[in-house]
Amino acid sequence: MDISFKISQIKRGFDVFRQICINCHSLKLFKLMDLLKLGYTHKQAALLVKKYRLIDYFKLPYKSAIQARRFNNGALPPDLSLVTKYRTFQWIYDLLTGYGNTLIRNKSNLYQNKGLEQGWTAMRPPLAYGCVKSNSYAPHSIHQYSRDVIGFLDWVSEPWLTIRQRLTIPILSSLFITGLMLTNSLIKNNNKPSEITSENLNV
Amino acid sequence: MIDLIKTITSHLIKFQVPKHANWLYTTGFSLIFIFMLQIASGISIAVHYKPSTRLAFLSIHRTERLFKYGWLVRNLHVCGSSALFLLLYLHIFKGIYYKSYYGSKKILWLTGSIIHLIIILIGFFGSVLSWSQMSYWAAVVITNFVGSIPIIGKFLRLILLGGYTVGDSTLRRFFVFHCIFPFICLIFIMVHLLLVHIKGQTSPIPNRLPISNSFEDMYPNFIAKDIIACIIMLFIMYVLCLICPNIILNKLSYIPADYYSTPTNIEPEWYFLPYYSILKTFESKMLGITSITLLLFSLIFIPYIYKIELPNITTRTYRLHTITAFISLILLGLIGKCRYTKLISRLSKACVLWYFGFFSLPLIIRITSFINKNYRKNWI
Repeated sequence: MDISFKISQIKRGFDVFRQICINCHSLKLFKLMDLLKLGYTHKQAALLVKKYRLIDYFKLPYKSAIQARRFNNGALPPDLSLVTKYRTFQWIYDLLTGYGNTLIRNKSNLYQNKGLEQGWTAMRPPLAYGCVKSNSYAPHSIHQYSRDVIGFLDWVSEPWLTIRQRLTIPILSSLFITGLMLTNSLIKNNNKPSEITSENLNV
Repeated sequence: MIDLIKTITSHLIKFQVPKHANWLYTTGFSLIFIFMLQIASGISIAVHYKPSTRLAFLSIHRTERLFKYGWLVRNLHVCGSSALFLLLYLHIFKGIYYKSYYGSKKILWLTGSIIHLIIILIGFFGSVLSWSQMSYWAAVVITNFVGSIPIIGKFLRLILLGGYTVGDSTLRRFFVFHCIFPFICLIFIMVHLLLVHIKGQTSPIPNRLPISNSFEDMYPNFIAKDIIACIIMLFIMYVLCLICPNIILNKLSYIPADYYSTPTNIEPEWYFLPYYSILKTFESKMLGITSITLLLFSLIFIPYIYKIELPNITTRTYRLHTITAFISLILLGLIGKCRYTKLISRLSKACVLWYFGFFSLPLIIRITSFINKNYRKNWI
């Protein structure tokens, strides 16, 4: 499996992230420099997010964790860089598309979300139809946005996927072949040539 | 100089190995190989590690991304630990199964059991260093557990934590311990190796000495076997690293430590599962402590328990007993994965009793034989 057919999806996912998710969430394992792997040049990558330089990790966009809690109904927005490792894709998709057409709020200011088990979240509904500006021809729907974001976050959580899959066959096959050669050496040769004597030679 | 080279080569090439040696005999060599690999990969990670609560989790995951093949080195270190423990348990099983603690080889067994204890400590300290949700709560549970030892417990806990809660100082201490202990372990491994070369290997067929005809030189056949075993272990490690890296690391190990929220199902690595299941079952802390310390230190006392040839035990029945004892440990590990219920707690208590039965068996036999002898003489 190669990542090259996913690159456009990851780019679209980053478009969603830099316009929407970045306003509340941090991405502490990612910096704009990593976008060079996707085919962006230095200048293009530097212009994508104005707040950060090429070498900056994406911090929490608040002054402190206390402020972040105060702005978000008492819940700290989690770091998204490893989110696909401890949540399934389906869970994130359900969360992003689970808000109903009409917003329903709790007594404690939580929003209703059908995708979650408990049914209420502190996160505001992030996506809406056509809320992201991008040059791609992909449909501007919540479904498409959430899929793109999941693709991007998956790439952030494991950017070495291509190298890993490229390394498997050579490493494993070389180990296998050396093992086979050594096991071949272990097989004892029972058909030893008989000792050469004057009788055998028939001189 | 020439003499030294001669002695080394004679020990390496002409070391006497039983002809009937099976694949369990290769575990020692591959253990040393994987231990060296762990040290090499560990040093290259430790260079980039920052032992503080704010940066520990991030620094580990950033080194994976920043440096070439950083992810592979870290994954190898993680998979290597479980490979090491697998080999260690197999090695211990081999030692008990073929009675390699018997007679003059008692010192060999003692050094080996010290190495076992040190490696368990290293594994625990290493698992805390990643400072994820899993490791933090593991540290909290285990240090509380240490603290409830009578008399010295609270003092020990203060030394371990460097304070009254698990925090910054704890992480620094554990990092230093994790770096120092392997080299202490290395000294013991050298002593162990020297002793093996002095005392000689034990034959899988009982009562055969290394002078006899059933032993042969190490060089052509056995070394090839050793190297093949190493390659098999490397193969397994690379399969774990490259094809399915999420098998060993739990989901909770990707969430940074947070002391506000306790995760519902914490689970240690698979090699600590037997101890974990014992911790879960006993309601009182003291019973849990005593059973775990007995489980850890029971291995040291084996040569003293099975000292003499027992009257009713042949080698065949003895080997059956060892296999059942190890099966009970495996069952304990499997139970540790399950959710806590009444039936499972009873099952695990039964497993603990079953395991300790292996150690109490010779005592019982001695007592019964004593009663049988003195039945007529005394009032018993």
